[in-house]
Amino acid sequence: MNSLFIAYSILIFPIAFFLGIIYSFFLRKVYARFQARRGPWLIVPKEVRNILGLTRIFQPLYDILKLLYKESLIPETANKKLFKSAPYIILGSIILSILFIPIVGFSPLGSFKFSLIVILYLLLIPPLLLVIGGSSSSSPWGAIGAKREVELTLIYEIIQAFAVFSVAIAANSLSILEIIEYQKNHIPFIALNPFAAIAFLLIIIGKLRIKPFDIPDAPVEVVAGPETEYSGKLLGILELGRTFFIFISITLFIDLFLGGGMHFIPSISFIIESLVILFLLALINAINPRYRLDQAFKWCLKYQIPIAIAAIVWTYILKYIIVF
Amino acid sequence: MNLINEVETNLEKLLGSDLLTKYQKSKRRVYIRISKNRVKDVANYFKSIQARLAHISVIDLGLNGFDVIYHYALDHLERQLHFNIKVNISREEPELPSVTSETMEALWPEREMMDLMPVKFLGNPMKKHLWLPYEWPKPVESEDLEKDEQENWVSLPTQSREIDGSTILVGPYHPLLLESCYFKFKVDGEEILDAEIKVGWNHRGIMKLFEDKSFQRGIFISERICGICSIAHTTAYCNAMENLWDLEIPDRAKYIRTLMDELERIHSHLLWLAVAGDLIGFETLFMLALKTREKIMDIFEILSGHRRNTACNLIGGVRIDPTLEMLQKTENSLKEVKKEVKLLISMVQDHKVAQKRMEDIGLLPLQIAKNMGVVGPTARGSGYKVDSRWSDPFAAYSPEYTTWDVVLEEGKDCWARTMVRLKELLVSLDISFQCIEALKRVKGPIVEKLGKPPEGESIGKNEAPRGELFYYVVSNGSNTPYSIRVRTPSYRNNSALPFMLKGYTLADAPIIIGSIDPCMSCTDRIVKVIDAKKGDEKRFTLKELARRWKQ
Repeated sequence: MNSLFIAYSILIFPIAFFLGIIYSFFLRKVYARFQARRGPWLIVPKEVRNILGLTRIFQPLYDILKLLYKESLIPETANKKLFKSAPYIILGSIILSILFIPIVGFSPLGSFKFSLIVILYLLLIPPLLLVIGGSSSSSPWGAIGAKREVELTLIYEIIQAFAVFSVAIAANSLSILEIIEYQKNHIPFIALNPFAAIAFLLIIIGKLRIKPFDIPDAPVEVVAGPETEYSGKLLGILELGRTFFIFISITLFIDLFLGGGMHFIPSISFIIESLVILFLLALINAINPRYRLDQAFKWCLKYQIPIAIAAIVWTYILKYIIVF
Repeated sequence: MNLINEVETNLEKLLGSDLLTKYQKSKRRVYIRISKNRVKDVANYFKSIQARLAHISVIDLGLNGFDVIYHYALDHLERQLHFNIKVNISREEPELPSVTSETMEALWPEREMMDLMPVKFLGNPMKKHLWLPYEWPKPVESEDLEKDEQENWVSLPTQSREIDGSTILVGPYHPLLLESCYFKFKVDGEEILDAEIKVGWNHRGIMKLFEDKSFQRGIFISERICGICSIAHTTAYCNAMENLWDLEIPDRAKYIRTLMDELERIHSHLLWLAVAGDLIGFETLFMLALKTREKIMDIFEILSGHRRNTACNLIGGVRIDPTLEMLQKTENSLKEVKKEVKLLISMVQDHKVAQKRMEDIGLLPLQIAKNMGVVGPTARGSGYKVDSRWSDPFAAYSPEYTTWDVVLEEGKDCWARTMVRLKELLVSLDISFQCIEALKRVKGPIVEKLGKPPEGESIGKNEAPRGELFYYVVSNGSNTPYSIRVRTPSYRNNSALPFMLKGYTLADAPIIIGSIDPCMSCTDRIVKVIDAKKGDEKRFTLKELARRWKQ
C-alpha cells in the first residue's frame, strides 16, 4: 500500500504534464480551425515528415523546451529577487496542488479531509505571485497588467468561493474524494446544481484568460501584461505552470461537477469530458473580442455574481426544502 | 448651375477692385486671383456658405514670390464646383494673415506650409511645428514671441510647465504603434483631458520628387505615397493630369479604372476590419477578414500581374486590358468574396461585445466634423455627406455609367464609422460587378493619345478608401510638372483626432485612433509622470520609476 502510494505520487506528475500538453495542443488546434487556420499539425504531411516528424501534437512542449534553452534577460531596474523567484513559486504551488486533486478518482492526498480548502488557497498563489513578478519587473506594462490582474482576481475569488462551497454544502464534505463519491451515489452536480457549474466554468474562462476576459495580457493594449519582461527560462517556467494549470482547472471542474469522469469506462470518459470542455473554451475564445476592464467588471457583477448566489440559494433549497 | 453664378457675383460684390483676375476651366473649376489683404474676408464668406477648405497650397515662383492658393471645395453643395483663390506674396515680405480663426480646416495646411516653405501665416494658434521636429531651432513665426512662449516649444521628451494632470506619451517608436505618429495625452486618472498629435516622422519629400520626373513617371512616385491605397493615389494623379490636358479617357479605360479603384476600397476596408478586430481583441475577425482580403490580392495579380503596386493607371487611360477570361475569374472570385463579406458583416453587426467596445466612443459631432473638414468614412459616420465619387464624378462613377448610393450613418461614434465601412464593402462589390458587366460589353481603346504638356494648373480628386484625396498641379509647359501638392485623407482625419479623444478613457484610445483608419494600435500608459497638482515638473528616468514601484 505504501509503495503503491509513493509510485502513484511520482507517476501523477508526468501524467498531468502529458495531459496538460495534449490539452494545450487541443486548445490551439481548435482555436486555429475556428479561425480558418491550420494550427499545429496532428498528422504531418508526407513531404515534410522527415523534417518535422510524424506528428506535432507535442508542439506546446517544444515551445516550452525552446524557452528553457534560452537565456533569460532580467531588466537592470527590476527587483531581482522577487522577479526571479515568482515563476518558481507559481510552478511549485501549481505542482503541489496536483497532489490533492483526484484524477479519475485516484489521489495520493485527496482523501485528506480539507483538500478542497487547500487547493483553493494553493491556486490563489499563482495570480498573486504573477502580480508581484509583474510589478517588480519595472516595466509600465507589467505594472498595468498587474493592476488588471489584481482587480479581476478579486472578483473571481468571490465567485469561485460561492460556486465551490455550494457543491461542498450539498455533498456535506470538504474533501474532493467524498464529493466525487457523493456524485457517484446520486447524480453529477452539473445536473443537480447547474448554476454552480456555470459560475465555475466562467471562472475557468477568466483564469485561463480566454477571450472576453484576457484583459491582463491583452497584446494590443499591454504587450503581455505581467509577463512582459519575462524571457527565456523564467518564461519557460511560467509556461510550464500554465500547462499544468490548464490540466488542473479542467480536472477540478470534472471532479466537482461531472463526478470525476467515472461513468462507463472511467479514464476514457474523463478524457472525452475534458476534450468537450476544452472545445467549449476554444469556441468561446474564438467568437469573442476582448472586454474593457470596466466592462468585464460590470459583466461579473451583473451576471456572474447573481449566478453564484443562485448556486448557493439553490443548494439550500435542495438540501433543506426538497431534501435530496 | 445657380451656385456658381451666385458665388461669383457675391465675390465680385465683396471684393470690388481687389478681385484681380478670374477664369474658369473645364469641369467647373474657377480660379480667382485677389489681393492679399482680403484673404480673411473671402474665408469668412466661404465659411458662411458652408464651403470646405480642401487645402492651402504654396507654390514657389522664384523671383515673383509665392503663390498661395486656397482651394475651396463646393462640390458637396453643387457637383464639381471648386473655387481656387490665389494670392501672390512677395519674397521680401512673405506674410499672410492666418485664416484659422475663420475655419479650423486651415490649421494643418498653414502649419505644414510654414514648415516646408519660407512663408508665414500670422496668427496661427498652434505655435508648434507640425512636420519639423519640435526642437527645430527656428520659430514658426517671425513675430517676437514672449520669452515664456519660447520656452513652451520644448523638445520632445520634456513637457510644458502649464500642464495640470499627468501626461502620457505614445509613439513614434512604440511596440504597440504600427505607424509613426506621436500622441501626447493629458490625463486625469484614466480620462483623457487633452490630446495632441505630431506627425512628420516619415516625411520623404515626395512632393519635391515629382518636380524632377516627367508627367507619366510621376505616376510611379504617387503610387508609392501610400502602401494601402496606391491605386487611389495614381487615379487622383491621373485625374489632375487629365484635367490639365483637358481630355476625356475612353469608356473602357473608365470602367477598368473604376474596377481597380473599387477593388482597392474592398481590400483596404477588409484590412481595416481586421485591424479593428485586433484592436478590440477579436482575433477571429482579424484572421477571417485577412483571409477574404487575400482573394482581392489574387484578383489584383490576375488583372495586373502585381499584388500591390499595380501600376495600372496611365495619363489618358490605363495600362491593363483584361480579357474575358480574366473578367470571368474576377467575377467568380468576387462572388465568393461577397458571400464571405456578408458573413463578416453579420459577425460584427450582431456581436454584443464588439458593439459595446465601440458604441458611444469617439463621438465626432457634425459641427466639429464640418469645422475640421474630415473626409471619407469618418465624415460619413457623422452624417456629413462628403464623397468625391458622388460630388466630383470621375472615371465611371457618374450615374450614366454606374448606379450606387453614398453610405451615410448618423451614429457619430466608432460603431457608426465601422458600419459605414461595412456597408461600403457591399456598395463597392456592387460597383465592381457593374463594371465587370460593362467591360464584357464595352470594347475599344484604353489609352488616349497625349499631346504636348499644356501650360496651366488643375486639381484632381479621388475618393481613396480613407476619404477624399486631393492633388494640385502647376505646369509651365515643360516636360516636368512645375509643382505638385498632395493632400491625403488621413491628413484631415488626424487633425480631428484630438477632438474625438477628449473625454474618453485611455482604454478607448486604440479603437478611437483606429476608427479613422490610420492603421495603428496604441495604448501606452506610464512613461513619464508629471505631478502638476503640486506645480513641479518631474521627469523620471526608468530607474527612478522602478525605485518608486519597488517601494
